[in-house]
Amino acid sequence: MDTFNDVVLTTRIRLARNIGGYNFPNNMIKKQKEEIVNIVKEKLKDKYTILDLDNIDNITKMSLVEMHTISKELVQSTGAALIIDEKNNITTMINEEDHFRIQVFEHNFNLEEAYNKIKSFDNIVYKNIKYAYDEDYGYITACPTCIGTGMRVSVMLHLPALEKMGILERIFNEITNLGISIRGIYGENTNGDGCIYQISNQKTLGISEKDIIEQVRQVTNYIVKQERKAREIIKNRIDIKDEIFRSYGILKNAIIISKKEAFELISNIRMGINMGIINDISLDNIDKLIENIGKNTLKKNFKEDFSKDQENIKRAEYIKNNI
Amino acid sequence: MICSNCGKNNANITYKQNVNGKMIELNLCDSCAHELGVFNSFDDIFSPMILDLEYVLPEEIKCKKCGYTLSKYRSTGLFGCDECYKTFKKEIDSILLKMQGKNRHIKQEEHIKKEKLKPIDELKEELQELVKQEKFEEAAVVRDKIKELEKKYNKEEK
Repeated sequence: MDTFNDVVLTTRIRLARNIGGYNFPNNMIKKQKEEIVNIVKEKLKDKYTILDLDNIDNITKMSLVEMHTISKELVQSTGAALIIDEKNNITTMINEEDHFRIQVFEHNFNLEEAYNKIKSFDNIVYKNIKYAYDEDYGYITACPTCIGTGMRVSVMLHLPALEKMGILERIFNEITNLGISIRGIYGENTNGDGCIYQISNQKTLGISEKDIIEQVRQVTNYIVKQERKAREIIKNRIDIKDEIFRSYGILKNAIIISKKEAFELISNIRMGINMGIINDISLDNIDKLIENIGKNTLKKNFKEDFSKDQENIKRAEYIKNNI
Repeated sequence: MICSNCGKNNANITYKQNVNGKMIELNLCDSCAHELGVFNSFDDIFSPMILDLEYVLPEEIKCKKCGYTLSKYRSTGLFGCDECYKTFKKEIDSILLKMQGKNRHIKQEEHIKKEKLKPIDELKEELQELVKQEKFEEAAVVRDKIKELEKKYNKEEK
């Protein structure tokens, strides 16, 4: 099976769910939120690890945000908790915008696996806890943009060749018309650092789960094809080859490097590997770098806190050791 | 400037009056202006305007369960509880239509059947209409389309 690992970094599916008969978290005081956490603990503690967010240290929390495991909003809110299903890569945020934000994560392009895992997790929760559900509206959510299926399917894409050829915008316009939204790596209103973009379905209501998956699959297929085509076109250009090897040189030798620059250079190397230009680094290795060079994730890996200036030194050190 | 009446306080009101074609200007402090009956206070000038209005704002509908209102939704983008979706159903139906293009949930199984059969059903209706109008050439094209779709659908069924 083609997992599109030359273009697709990760596949994620998120389900928004609420417990029937309770106010949504935005309309709750801390005590009421704790009540929700207690219900979850009571019903699910035998099956999964449940962690109060207050019991997790700050660096770990922010590192989880950098890894897209939890949201910034959750870290800032009170009475929040996590259900962790480590085996299946499922993390559920409790008391974010909804009582539950269930999220599954898979490397590369793997919609079936992600869908099957999250559905079976969802069924287990559903057997123990009564969801807010309406015959007309489906799963009820605090925000009407998530109602119905409550399902958001996202695929993280690496699109360096399309970006270099300057046709990314045109493709994005096309797929926006198909009901797909696009954002940079760190969510809404961010640009695609390192040519990394996330696409996801806009609509959650009046469309079945299977059709949402199908929609994202088709659009992903289309973009992957275009990116591969673009790579074929630019791969013999001498300036592209030069850029790739220069990037390699800098990453291997730099003493100080910002996240933005590191992302750009890593992006070039990733493309170089897929074009057969660089042969002595594995894709997995590069993808691990992308995941781990955030400020807080670095702190976690080095097991120490450091200042903004030190951050860029530590990043260069980490990259040198792991490339 | 000192109040031209008491000569003590700072004047912060300029009072102008046309007396027999001659403009008199007085600079008064708050308390003298009040005493002289120029006006009582700013509140008195503006407040009658509100009382003049016949239209009274209706009290906003609140969700019985959580107390949320539609204006609260408009400022936050979020509703307060699951019951809100019943309280504000009419408004929510139109909000969803704008936001999602649809306002009814589709369950998995229903959807699959409907999607597959719908084009065929529509084409069959079209065929009947064309036959009625004796447009046989066009009807033949539609008939072939139906056959093709049915073949495809049966294959998928197996």
